[in-house]
Amino acid sequence: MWYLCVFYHRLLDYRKPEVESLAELFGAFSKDPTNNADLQSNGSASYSLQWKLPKHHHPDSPFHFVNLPSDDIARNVANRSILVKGIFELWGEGSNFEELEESIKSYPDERKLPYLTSDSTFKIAVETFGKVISFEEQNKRIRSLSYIPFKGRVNLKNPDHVFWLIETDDYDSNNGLPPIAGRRIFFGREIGAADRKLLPTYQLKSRTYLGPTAMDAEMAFLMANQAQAKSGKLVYDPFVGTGSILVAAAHYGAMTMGADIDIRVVRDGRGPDCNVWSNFKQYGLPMPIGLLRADNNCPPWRLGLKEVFDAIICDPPYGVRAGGRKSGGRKLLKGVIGPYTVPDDKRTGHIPSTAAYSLVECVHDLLDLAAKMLVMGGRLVYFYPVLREDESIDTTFPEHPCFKLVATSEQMLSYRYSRVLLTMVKIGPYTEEIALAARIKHLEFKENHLKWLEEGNLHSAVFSPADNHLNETGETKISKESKGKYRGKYV
Amino acid sequence: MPQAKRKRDNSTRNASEYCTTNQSNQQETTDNTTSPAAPRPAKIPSIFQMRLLTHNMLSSNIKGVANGFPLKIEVVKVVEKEVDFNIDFLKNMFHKVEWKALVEASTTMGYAELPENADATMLDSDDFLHKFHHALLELHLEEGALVCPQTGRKFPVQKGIPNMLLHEDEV
Repeated sequence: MWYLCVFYHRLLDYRKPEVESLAELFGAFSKDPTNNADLQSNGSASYSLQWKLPKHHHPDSPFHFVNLPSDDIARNVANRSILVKGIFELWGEGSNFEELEESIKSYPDERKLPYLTSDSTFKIAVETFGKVISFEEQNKRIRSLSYIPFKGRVNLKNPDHVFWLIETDDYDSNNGLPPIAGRRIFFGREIGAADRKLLPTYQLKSRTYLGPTAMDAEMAFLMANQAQAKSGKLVYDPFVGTGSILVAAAHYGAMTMGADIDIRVVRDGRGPDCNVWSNFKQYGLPMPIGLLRADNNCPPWRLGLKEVFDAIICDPPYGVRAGGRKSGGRKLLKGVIGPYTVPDDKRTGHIPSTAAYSLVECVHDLLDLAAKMLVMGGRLVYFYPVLREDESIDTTFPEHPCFKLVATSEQMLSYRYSRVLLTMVKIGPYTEEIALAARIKHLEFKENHLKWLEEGNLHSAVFSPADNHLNETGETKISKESKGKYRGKYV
Repeated sequence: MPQAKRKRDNSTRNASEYCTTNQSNQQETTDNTTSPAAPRPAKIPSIFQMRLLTHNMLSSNIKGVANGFPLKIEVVKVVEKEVDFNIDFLKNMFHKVEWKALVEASTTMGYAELPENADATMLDSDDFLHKFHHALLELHLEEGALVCPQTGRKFPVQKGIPNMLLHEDEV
């Protein structure tokens, strides 16, 4: 059945993937959720829904139509989402109120009457996009709906049914979008809507223990939704830091586990009441199953351990705001000195030195770990930075034979670079050949450590002065405009 | 002999490893008293925890070590804490866990109720599930060490965090 899906006008790239990921979580796609054979046989199990746009609307518009199997699924999706303002059963739409009336009247009675009975309570809300209308105007509009036979009583606080009258106008520019041609009015019954109250509860400014790259609460929830975190599942973050991503996963009931190479962050925090554990305690969430200090470059998992995690969610260090580290010794890898042997009497208190960890290697290790440790159908959700200097929008993202990329959502961070949230689903088993290839690659990274560090250096690309831009001011302008991105991508 | 030496160094480990200066004082005092006899200050309810599920997944990954699993547990402080019972999670994890290692580890931690052998049919028994739940999730090693079975290298566990990072010459 087709529903009207209205989004909050922010994080535009994240809206549809969130709905699709949740739709799958609530059973919109699979007839038999336990059947992995589907996944394996063709690798093309459907992860996407059918979408339609209202007439003349740009894809960045907050109004979409989406095909979902049932009210229940639509309700679950909407209520769990972060970016869905509402999913509605559309009773009518039109370019003006006459058309709307006609459309509502022709909507079948058997769909309408059950929600209009005398023993029910209801409320009508007026919503606009790109315009403001006064309270009196709103009342007038509600009254004009008198042709709908409402029999129930009005209850504004806790109604059984909520109806929405939603209106857009044809403005020259709509919140940074290209103009939407043609006024449109929708009327529908609310099926479900996001609970954005979560966000003030979990906002970072009231979080006890924060790091410089703690994940914003809204984004963390979006990541947890992409990963389909839920009760009974085990979620792992190999770059856990202050635990900001796992907090969101734990909120949805998942068991969590995290690792970090920095022991000060993961073990000590800022004291007994301000550390990763206390961040979970603060919200009354169950503690992580385990936190450990480990190196993503040589993880301490036992031989033969595989397919334990249902999802891996992380924000790897890209070397812009925080750089990755790996064990092996700073000087050794630079080739300055030979292998350092720790003297026997210094072994216990020894602090091993670490070396810089290039993004390419980090992502390679992450994919290898995920390929081995995720269950079939498990999800890897992580941020990948993309330089915006090269015009090509069709960046190639990391690939792996075990994974299928199901969603990419860009968030611009600055004029120079974006980060893209990648969602990958494990569709193939981790075979001997894949393991072997990964080991060879691992050695190659180790031998050519310096080369890889230089090649993938995002920091200089993001922060170096833009001298070539200063030289020809005129050209800078042109190149800025030719980016062809809407402001909407920034929100 | 090297064993004894390690023990002595133990007490100074933290002071040197700490970087946050305002903490180091307090930390030193707590760390010097990490013997089973000395209780921690009762004021702060402990929230640090390493569970046996984590132990069951870890091994020593020192270069050249072939049998890094299971790590032996050296207990300094064990805490027991009630954790919500999640039957789906347990059934799911049962198939991933190395049973023998779990039994051994829980015995070391002072809980010897687990049966020597287990198979999937036992998952129907409520009694078994609760024992499994207790061993896997409710026994917490707060202070101690994980010891590589082959080399004897100790991976310290402090405040419930196993430190699995290798030294330069172990990678």
